[in-house]
Formats: sequence, C-alpha cells, structure tokens
Amino acid sequence: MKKITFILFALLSGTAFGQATATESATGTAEIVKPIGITNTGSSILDFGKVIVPTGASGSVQITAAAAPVRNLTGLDVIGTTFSSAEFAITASANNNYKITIPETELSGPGDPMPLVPISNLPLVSNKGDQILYVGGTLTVNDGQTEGTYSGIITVTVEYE
Amino acid sequence: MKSLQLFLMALFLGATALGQTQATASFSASVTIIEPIGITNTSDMNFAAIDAKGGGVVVLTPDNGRFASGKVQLADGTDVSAASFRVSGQQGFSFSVTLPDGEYLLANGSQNIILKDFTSNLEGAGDLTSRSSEFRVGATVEIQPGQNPGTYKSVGYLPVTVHYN
Repeated sequence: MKKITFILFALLSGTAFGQATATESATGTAEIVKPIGITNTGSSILDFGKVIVPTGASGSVQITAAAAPVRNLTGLDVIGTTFSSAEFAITASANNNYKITIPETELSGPGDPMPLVPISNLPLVSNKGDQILYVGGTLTVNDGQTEGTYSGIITVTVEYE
Repeated sequence: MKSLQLFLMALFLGATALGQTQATASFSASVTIIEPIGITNTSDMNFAAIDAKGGGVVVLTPDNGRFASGKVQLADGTDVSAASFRVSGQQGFSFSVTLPDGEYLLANGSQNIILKDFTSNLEGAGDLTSRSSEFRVGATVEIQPGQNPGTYKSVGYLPVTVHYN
C-alpha cells in the first residue's frame, strides 16, 4: 500500500514538472521525505513492578528511559525485581525536525488515581532520523494507597515540524 | 474533465501526505500496590518451671515442647509457651522471618541465664494464604549448676523481623 502511494506521488511530481517547464528552478528544491512512523519494538509496558504502600507520606517510584532501565525509589519500598520501560522504533528522515509528544497521565485502579510523569531518552524535538525511543516515568504513590493493580494507556505521537 | 481529475488526485495526495507527517503508538503503564507487611507479638516465650540441680540445657520447641539435657530437671510445665506472632500483609505473598541472633540474657537481679538458638516453625518462607499468618518461635536456655531460684526475664526486647520475599 505504501509503494502504491509512492508511485502516485512520483507521477504527480512528473505532471507538475511538465506543467512548469517555464520555471526551470522548481525541481531543484524538491525533497523526498520518508513518512514518519513509530512502532512498538521491545516492551510495550512501562511496568513499575510491585510497590509497597507508603505510610505517613506519599512516595514515588521512577523507571529510567533506557535499554536497561533503573528503578529509583523515594519514600517507599518494592518487592521483586521485575520492572520495564517501554520501547519504540521511530522511522523518520534525517535532518528533518520532528516533535515527540508523550502526555502525562494517571494510573487508575481500585483506589485514588496516581499521577505518572513520563521520561524520554530523546529530546522533545529531534532531527536524527531513525531512533529508538525509550519511555520511563515517575509514578507518585499516595500515602495509604489502596492495594491492587493500577494501569493506564499512553499514546506517543511523533510529528514532523 | 481534466481539471477535475487533477483536483481529485491532488486531494488524494494531500490527504496521504498529511497522514504521513504524524504517527502514533501506544503503550500501557502498570503497577501493583502491595499492603505493607506487619507483625504483632501474640504470645511471649515462657520456659515455665525448671529445677536447676546440676545445670544443663532446656530446649523449648516452637510447638511448646520442652526437652532437658544434662542434670537440669523440668518442673511444672503448665505455663510453657513458645513465642507466637501474627503476620499481616498482602494475600498470596510469601515472607521470611529473621530471628534473634546470638545469645541474650534472662536476668534475675545479678543472676543471668543465657538464651540462644532461636528456632521457628516456618521451614524457610511463610505464606500469606490469607491476609494474616501465624508462626511460633522457640529457643534454648543454659542453666548453671545451682542456679538461684527466681523468675528470670529477658533484658530488653528480642527482635523478630518479617519481610516480603
């Protein structure tokens, strides 16, 4: 399907060229930019693992954005060693700025929602073409949070500027 | 007619190009929140009455059994009790117990008895098959020959710690 689209594009360019023979410099600025894309490659789950309810004050758990993420704890404790960051492959033409948007969200479950601030290994705007994007985050766990499993869906958007 | 065709093509191309400047993918984020683990002492350890005689060792098992070795003799055992604890925490998780390590003293004035070799009825980990679980702790006392009669009590607390596995 992508191939067909490309052929149509080439055809139209040719037509435009044919119609603009008088303005010869028009084709000199033509630039083919490959479509931007993003797909889940590795883990599609940002998993904070098993967190013990903080008592007396809220705490936070942070997963870094890296191939081998690190879990940092503030004011709470965890059980087990299972956690993960999410991983994506971005496909884009080099030297074209694109914006990476990862919204803040909340994880919902049996108790109060918990705010989640995402962490990215890439800057907000990049021009480096194909790249691997890792998404970690900082989750705030409320004092006396009701036990259970909490989850949320986050949509990552990449867009040419 | 020609212009209409061109217009349609342009529209098509426009829509495709617009779609290609942006792409999205989603991921899920999750966390499991676990109840903190807690421990409550529900019964103290009591070796009950012992006749020191020539001294020896008395072992108190987690299931309230008493065994003497050496010349010491067991007396009235009505009040014999291993220590017991209730653990509360997240159902379905297992925990392990850290017992007091080394030797502690039971004191009666200036007289002491050594308390050591703590044991529990948990073989390895305990399981929270419900939201609470109980376990018991025994130990051994060393009685000196002719140890003064009296009630000997532990000096300070004997720490028993539970943690999630």
